[in-house]
Amino acid sequence: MNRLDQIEKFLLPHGYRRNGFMLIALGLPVILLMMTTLVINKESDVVMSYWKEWSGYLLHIPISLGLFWILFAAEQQEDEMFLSMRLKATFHGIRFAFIAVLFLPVISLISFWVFGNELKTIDVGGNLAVVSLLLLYANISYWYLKMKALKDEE
Amino acid sequence: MKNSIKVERARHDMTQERLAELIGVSRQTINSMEKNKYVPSTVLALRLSAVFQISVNELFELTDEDRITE
Repeated sequence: MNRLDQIEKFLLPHGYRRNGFMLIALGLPVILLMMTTLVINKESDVVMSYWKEWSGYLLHIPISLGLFWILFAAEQQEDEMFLSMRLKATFHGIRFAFIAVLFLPVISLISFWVFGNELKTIDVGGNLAVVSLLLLYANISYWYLKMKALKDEE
Repeated sequence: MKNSIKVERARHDMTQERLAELIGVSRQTINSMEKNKYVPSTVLALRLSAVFQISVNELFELTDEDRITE
């Protein structure tokens, strides 16, 4: 069995799920603090330059890492159905991220036609933002599929 | 794909938990299979047939939708 075949067996220990939630919980106050600082110091070039340089990392590293851990942490009793759900959810995530990235310029066009705003290319926020978006939607899909399976039991 | 897991489980007087234990999956997976929401892999199908001591063909059945029509 080569490495590519083994990748389907790649899952983190179950405890990583809790760690993922904790990481997101820790990351969110940092983001909020950063945003608040920005609002308070609107005119400060120092804060703005710092924000421009580091916002991507501050915003997306805890979120994307946390979401990754949550999605790829094994269930308490992991089996092939959960693997299949995770695969489906990842496909949904890829599709959503792809559509989101493709349609961002359309939003700019609509904004130009409807509101007369300046026509400009919308930057999705770099590679990390796309990864966060993908993982976020994959997580939502996974939990939806899991909840649906649980609901069917009732 | 239809299956008779629920019927066989009842015939063997077995709970979902017990069957899950025997074939090494979660109870949710047994429930999803019984409700035809999840189609198991060949390995799992063979494990089920071994537990119930019947063939896979007796346990699983193709529906009209699953058949290839020319």
